[in-house]
Amino acid sequence: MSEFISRREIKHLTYNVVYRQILFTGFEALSIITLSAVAVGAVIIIQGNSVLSNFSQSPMYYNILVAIIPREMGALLTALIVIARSGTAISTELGNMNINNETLAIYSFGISPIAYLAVPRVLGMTISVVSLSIYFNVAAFSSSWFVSFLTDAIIPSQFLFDLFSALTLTDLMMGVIKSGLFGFFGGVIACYHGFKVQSAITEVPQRTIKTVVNSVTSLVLLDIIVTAMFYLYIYD
Amino acid sequence: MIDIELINLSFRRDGVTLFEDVTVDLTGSKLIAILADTEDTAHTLLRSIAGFLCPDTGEVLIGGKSFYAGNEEERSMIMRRNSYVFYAGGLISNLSVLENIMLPLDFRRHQLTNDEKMEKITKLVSYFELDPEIIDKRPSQLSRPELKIINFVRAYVIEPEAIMIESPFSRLNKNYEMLIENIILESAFKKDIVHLFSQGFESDLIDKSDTIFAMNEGKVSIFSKAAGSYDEFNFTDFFENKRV
Repeated sequence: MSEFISRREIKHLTYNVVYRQILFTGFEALSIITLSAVAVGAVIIIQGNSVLSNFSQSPMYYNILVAIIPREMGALLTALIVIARSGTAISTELGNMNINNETLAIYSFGISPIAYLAVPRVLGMTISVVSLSIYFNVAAFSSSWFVSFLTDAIIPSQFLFDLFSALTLTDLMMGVIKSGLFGFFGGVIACYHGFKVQSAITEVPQRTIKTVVNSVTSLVLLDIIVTAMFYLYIYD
Repeated sequence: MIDIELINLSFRRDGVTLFEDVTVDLTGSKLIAILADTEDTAHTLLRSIAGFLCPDTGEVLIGGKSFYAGNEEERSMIMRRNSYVFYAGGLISNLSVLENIMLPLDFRRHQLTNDEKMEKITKLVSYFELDPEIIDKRPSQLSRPELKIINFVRAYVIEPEAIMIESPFSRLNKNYEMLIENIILESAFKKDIVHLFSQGFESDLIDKSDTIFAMNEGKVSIFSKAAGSYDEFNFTDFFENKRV
């Protein structure tokens, strides 16, 4: 019974940390994600317009939008922004906690620092990256429509019809799977480097740099692997 | 009162032996001083006893249960019986003082209602002569002595069986030193909470301890009132001749 209550308490406390992590990683990153998404959506239409119209291939806009936004940029750019913003923050925070004996204090209460500090952060980061990448897709498509409307006077219903004709559930799934993996691995790498800080304050920036380098490397490799898997086993 | 026993405890760091073959049964001891040629060495032994640093060899038995031989869950159950006061830091920076004190209570005294927990905290804050409004502050808003005192409050609030304290008087001013000494003595000898503390300089609290670990260049001598060897410890010799 006492163990049951204890586990319930752990869940309650962990929930609070996950909530704070989502607030910081997800909600507070909305402005930069919006800016990036709007820019990407607009640039694709502007660039596409200048190239495809020369070959009378304007309907290809939608295929290009689908290939770039939900399949690639939504997950990739969101994850890069989150790693730069929150991955480094997690690594620095955990590193400083190690130096200030905060991690040991948590351990001394009989609480696993992995369960209390790492799991909620990884979970929060994964949920945030998935949610932000979906938001990125919506914002980028909206921006694409707006630029199309300004340049070619395309009305929303026509834009949506053509877009949904090109978009499949598999495209959306690819983005969700990628963003889930990017968020999870980014969180794990940030926590790993944070916990690796031993006792010197100078280790913190070194570990933060390693967090960025390792996260970006794993992100790029994962992107190649998932994309290749989709094209090998699903799109064919 | 919880029993603590150390068996063949050895610890080396960077090729240097900090302590070797420490074997002692602390059953019945209430106030134990760990003195060393460097504070770091004393803290290392204390942290090995607390379960933070796995020794190279040996075993720590707390309440008859092996600390390092058990799995993570068994270790966690032993840890929940004890408290630890850090030399510096130790308060979780993104939580308020109240949340810091509440955290171990939530895990170890989950059967208490929130009102009961708040009552315990308020009483202790007053007992430690702190401003009641301190609980709403963040650790970054506290002075060094206040940070240390909150560490003590958090350690005592769960009513542990043993408390381990790194340098109890570091970062405190004279008034707080007296207060902390009185609280430690009362808790140890009237409430039967075992206190182990590590220290690198002489203090009245060492005189009042019933067991002393004196470590110098890896060698450990134990002086205990129960064993009748307490009077053999020469304070002046130890503190004047220690390697710093």
